[in-house]
Amino acid sequence: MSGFVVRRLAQMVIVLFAVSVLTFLIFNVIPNGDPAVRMAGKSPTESQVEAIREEWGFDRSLPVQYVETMRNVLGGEAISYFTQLNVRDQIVEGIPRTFALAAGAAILWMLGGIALGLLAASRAGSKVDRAITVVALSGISLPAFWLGALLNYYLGFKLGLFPNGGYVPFTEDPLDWAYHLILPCTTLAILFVGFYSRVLRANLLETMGEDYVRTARAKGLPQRQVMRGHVLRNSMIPIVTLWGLDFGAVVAGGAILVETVFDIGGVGQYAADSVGQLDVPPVLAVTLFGAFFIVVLSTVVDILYAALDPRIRVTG
Amino acid sequence: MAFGGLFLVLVTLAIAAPLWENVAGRGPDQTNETGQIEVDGEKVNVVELDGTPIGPQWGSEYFLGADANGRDVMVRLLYAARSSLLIGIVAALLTTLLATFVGLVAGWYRGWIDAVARSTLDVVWAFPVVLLGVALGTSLAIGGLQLGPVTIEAGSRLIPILVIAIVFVPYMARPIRGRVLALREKEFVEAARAQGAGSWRIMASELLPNLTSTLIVFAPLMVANAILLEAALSYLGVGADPSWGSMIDDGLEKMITAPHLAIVPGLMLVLTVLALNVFGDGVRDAFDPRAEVRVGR
Amino acid sequence: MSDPLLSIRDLAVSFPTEEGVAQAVEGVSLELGAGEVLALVGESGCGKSVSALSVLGLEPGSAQVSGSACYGSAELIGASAEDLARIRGAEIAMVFQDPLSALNPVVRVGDQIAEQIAAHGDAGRSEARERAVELLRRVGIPQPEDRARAYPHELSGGMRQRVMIAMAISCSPRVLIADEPTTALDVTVQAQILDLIRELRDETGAGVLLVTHDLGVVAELADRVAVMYAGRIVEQGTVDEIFEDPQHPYTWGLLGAIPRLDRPRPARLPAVAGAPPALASKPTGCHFRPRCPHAFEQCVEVPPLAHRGGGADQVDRCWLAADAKRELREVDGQFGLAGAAEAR
Repeated sequence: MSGFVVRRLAQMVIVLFAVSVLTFLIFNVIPNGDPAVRMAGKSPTESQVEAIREEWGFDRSLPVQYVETMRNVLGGEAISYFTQLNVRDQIVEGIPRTFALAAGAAILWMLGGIALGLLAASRAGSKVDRAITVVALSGISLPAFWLGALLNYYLGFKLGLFPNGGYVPFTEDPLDWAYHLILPCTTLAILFVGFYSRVLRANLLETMGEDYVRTARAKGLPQRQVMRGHVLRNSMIPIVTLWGLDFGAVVAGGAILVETVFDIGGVGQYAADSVGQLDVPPVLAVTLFGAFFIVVLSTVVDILYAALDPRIRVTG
Repeated sequence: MAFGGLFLVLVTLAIAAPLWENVAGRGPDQTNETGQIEVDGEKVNVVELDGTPIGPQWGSEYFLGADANGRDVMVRLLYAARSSLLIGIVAALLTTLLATFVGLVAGWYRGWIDAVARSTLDVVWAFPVVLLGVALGTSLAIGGLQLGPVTIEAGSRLIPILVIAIVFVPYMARPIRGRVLALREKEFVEAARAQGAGSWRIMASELLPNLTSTLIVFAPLMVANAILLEAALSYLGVGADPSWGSMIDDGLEKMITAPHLAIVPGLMLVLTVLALNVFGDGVRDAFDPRAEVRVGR
Repeated sequence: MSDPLLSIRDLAVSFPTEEGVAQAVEGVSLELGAGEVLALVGESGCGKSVSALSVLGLEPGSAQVSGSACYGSAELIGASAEDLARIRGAEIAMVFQDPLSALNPVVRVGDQIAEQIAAHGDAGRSEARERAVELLRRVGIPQPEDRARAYPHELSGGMRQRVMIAMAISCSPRVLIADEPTTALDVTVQAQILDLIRELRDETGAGVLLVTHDLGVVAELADRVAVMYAGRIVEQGTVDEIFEDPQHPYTWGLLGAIPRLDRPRPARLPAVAGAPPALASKPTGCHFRPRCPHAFEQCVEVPPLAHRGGGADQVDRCWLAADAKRELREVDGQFGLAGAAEAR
């Protein structure tokens, strides 16, 4: 088991390295033109451009540029050329907000997915089941930003049931913090609930037909225990791993749209705003953070899967 | 299956966009902030002085009203349909081509080729979908792309197509690679090998036909997700215009006075994607009920 | 039989299929006494497994079951879920054919056994685990403390089946139903498993309903035999009676199909001509009629299961007279079905 973990960790490092190189290439090499000029934002002076060129190494070879760029970004030195604020500080401020949003949504969609999936599977083939399928498919067909904007407008602004966007730090007022998060978390959750309920339903139906479930019944276990200890338990394994991956994806940037619409001020919104301003250092930094988070989480998920399903350990 | 029909209807509408343009008398980008039109015999400002555009006229001109710049919403809607559908479908096709190629090669040759392919896929996949799309879209949008002899201008629709296509490759390549790994162990592959068929031959004549069911199952879902991603990108300003995403972006600004500007393109988007999803679900039930289609958001 | 443990009467099981209603089991009646092994024999699809499963209410969901299966005074067919759960595993236990798929792949085998013990209120969790280890030892698994923590895929086929048996006997059931317990195993392991079952029967006096298609297994282990064909029992008697004095043509066919070491090798493996009927469209009268070289006019009427020849309690479903049977069943000096050598 430990060999498995070590291998995955090594893989992780390699992938992260590749991601940083790729990001670097995307921002500084692919586009035409002078990266220093671009990085300087709108209407820079010549000396500004020159300063950037030197600091980020654009006048030197690519590998050196890469090193300089990474040093600036990872070292927490990068300054946004638009807001003049330190990029790392901004990201650090945004992380708990993005996390709160992602975690809240993840819990909601998991609970909702389990509830709907169980319901659909227990009434497979019935009208209820079909209705749930339609609801599920509708959920995943919605554009995040549109749904969020409409919910925010109608429930927040017009009906005043919820605050009109914004974020209140937990340390300031836990209840208000939760209150502000209800609508955005729900929006995000709606997008995923459908998928999870359908996967769970499919898993449950498949598992219920397995021989070992029949054995469980033959052992005289009460139906509750058969469902809990065998059907649900086995069906959930792939779902837990999917959940981990999705959670990572949401934190890493999947929440951008919802954050922007509800003005949460998280990491994703930071990136979105920066993109609009052609402000490269923040976007670079957020991309790296996002990729890092995804890679870490996918490794965790792989390890978790091996822990839950012993058959995986052999093949690694 | 009815939903498949719905999708085709939408495609037809999109294709018919230029026809409507003739009917409406103005193009999708034709602004008209200061113009006036006749309503019930009276002359009305297309865009009021306070910025409120006129509502749906249900006639040939401004069928669904005007947006903040005086543009005809209906015309824009249909052209946006064109953009979104075109980009979505072409991107999905491109993803399929790339993913099939990568999946085939990686799964067949294994060894270091597979390792490189998987690592590349991992890297692309490690990027959050929207961020990668935005990142690529931004850098390409600034100065276009120059790859040797190939030049693509900034603002060309090819850019979002490329971006979306690349972003989704890992989601498709992984299951394809998995299928190839399973298929290569089958007897008919061994038989072909024994007959002296070379690798490329086997891939083309033995593996590829067996992948078609997987591809068919994936196709509608890929298009659906491509369309959604395109909308997200254009909402953030990195996609095409007019597009449903950009229309929603514009429309949200006028939410209070003219909510339909944001709602209508959104509905079109949802209907299209839903049609594709339901259709894709039916296809999947028919071909391969066990297929697991995973696309990130 | 006086006081049978399990008494099955007119069991009938049908399934809806695309071709119509498939009658998998038709009017099967059996009695299982304490300490005896009753073998239910037949080829694939004859309904023997379905019969066994239906006794415990484990038949597939779409099946319609009618008839009666009495365990003592308790009626099992149509019993409530709670009543069945009490009896399953504790009074009547089952061993399945493929232990790899019949065991939960992500739960340790020791825990799977302990779960059953704990569910029937026999012990708390830790005591149940200890008992599980002891059970593993009893069924002949070496180093049972270590093995109890193993997952099913980490064990060999034979060991997995031993685990299943350990699970089945964990609550000292009075009846053991074994559905093709050795089919998925190597021949050498088969012998060990059969020995184990015999030992347990001797020790506990439990009654064993052994479902199998393998006559070798029957000869090895069974006390009484019931031969099934196309959903019906066509012959029933002691194992000696069935092997030495078979009364039904299908039985002759089965016996004739066994390759024998003490005879010259036939050009082809003898088989019974034709194939079993589709369950949704069985021939009227005796189901075996189309394949039977000795069929005559009366065979269009369903022969009732009755004593016509052979031992005192031996019964069969063949209209032929006892002396005709004695003559017709000799083919090339052994029991067989005429015309079998030309069978495809």
